[in-house]
Amino acid sequence: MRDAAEERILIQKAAEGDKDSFETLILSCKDKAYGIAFRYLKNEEDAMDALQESFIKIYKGLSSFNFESKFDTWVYRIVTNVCNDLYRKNKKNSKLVSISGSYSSDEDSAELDITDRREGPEALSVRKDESRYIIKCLDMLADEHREVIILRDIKGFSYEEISEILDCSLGTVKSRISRARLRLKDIYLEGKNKKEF
Amino acid sequence: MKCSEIRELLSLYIDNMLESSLREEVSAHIDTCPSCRNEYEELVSVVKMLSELPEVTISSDFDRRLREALDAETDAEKAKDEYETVRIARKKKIKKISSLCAIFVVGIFALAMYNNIDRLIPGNDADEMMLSSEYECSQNTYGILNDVCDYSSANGVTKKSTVEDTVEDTGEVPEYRYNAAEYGAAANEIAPVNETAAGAEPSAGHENEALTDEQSQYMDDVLPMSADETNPAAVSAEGENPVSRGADSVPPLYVPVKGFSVTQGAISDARDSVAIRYYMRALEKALEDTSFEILMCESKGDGIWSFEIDLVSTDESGNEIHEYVTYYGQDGTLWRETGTEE
Repeated sequence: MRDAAEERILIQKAAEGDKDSFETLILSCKDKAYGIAFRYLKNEEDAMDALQESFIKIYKGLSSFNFESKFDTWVYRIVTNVCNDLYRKNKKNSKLVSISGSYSSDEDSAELDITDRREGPEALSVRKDESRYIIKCLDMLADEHREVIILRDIKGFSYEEISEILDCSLGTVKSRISRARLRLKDIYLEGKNKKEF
Repeated sequence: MKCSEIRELLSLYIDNMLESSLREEVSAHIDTCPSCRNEYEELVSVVKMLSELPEVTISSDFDRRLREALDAETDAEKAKDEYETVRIARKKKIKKISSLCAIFVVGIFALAMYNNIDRLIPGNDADEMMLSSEYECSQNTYGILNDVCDYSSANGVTKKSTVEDTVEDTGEVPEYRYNAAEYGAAANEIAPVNETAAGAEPSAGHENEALTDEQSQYMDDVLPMSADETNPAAVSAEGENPVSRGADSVPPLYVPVKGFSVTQGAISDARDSVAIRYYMRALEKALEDTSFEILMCESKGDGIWSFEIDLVSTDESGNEIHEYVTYYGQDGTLWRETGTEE
């Protein structure tokens, strides 16, 4: 982990147009940022686009970074916003997928990137189905609920980090997470119950 | 605590975000309440499922793509800046030219306005402007003022003190225009000419001072004349625009004027008409008991006016008798020429 001074120097250089410094700067948060984008947009291509757009925005806005938050947090905030916008745009264009419907092939290919091979092929496919299913459920949540689930339960950000990223109070974060999880659970079980019948 | 409240706290409990006393309360409740425990367990499994979602790795291609995009952006920015500079420079040039044009147009407009300013002021004529520009008066005119004041005071309006004081103090009478308006108003109160003969003499004992142009100007200005007081027909016969002094409509004179003509000296028409109107009023006053006609009005120079009057009366047998007299006016005083009676 680099220290604050080091980070400041990198930011300064990148702001002046040093692209190499910029690349170093974003190294630590790149993967996590991609993870957010991917969970938001559910396919690799969209996630890449969102990420690229985010980083270009960040690069351009470096001179106005006010050091109020950590650099990484700022990155995640921008990524989240870009994803939100892209998600809404996609939602308008695409058809709604019902809970029992099938995923697009893109989704499958991405899930194949699973590196964990400890489990047998059966378990793996079950797991794949499970993840596919829960992601579908996630899609049915309200925007602000899905957002906190991705940040908290999928990406593992702390409550404080989330309040910084989303630029809202800690209290708001707490109540959102609570309601989001309860809602997701209800959707999950509802679908499962239907299937069993 | 109720189950619904516990339900709200379960997430925080799972994430260890509750302070110790609450945490224990929830924990105890879950142990005893099956439905809440069920709820809790379902939540835990969902959270676990989410956390176990596979990590996705970013494509190795991303770095290259990002760098290309950044390069493209900076090039675009440079081009945009250059374009902007040119655009701004051009804009500035256009702005300069158009502002110059605007100034030019405004200048022409202002010049036109300036040249035609007299025509532009509504209800105005050039003479009014001439009159208003000459405000000076000297101590000498104080005497004239007295008479004027006396005249109007006879009608129940005393303005003497006001005007006197001002004249004494400053040698100028800046407010006299307003006074003139007041006088004008006072003049409205004058009763119509009385037809019964009384043959009053004009004020005697008046010092006949020679009037300078300045003084006559001043006198004219101060005199409580308004266009409305005179016979509109008479004035319009001169073909002039009567100078209004602010008095509202007044009943016209009852004096018919025949063959009214004025011989002009170097004095402006407007000023003449003011003087004439003044003297005509003075005549009315002087001859209030007599029916008369003004046959001729002439400027004799030095501010002296002559009025040839035909005094009309009826004798016992009902015949009309005409008496021809000449009145003179100067310094605001009217007097009758002696020895010309026929």
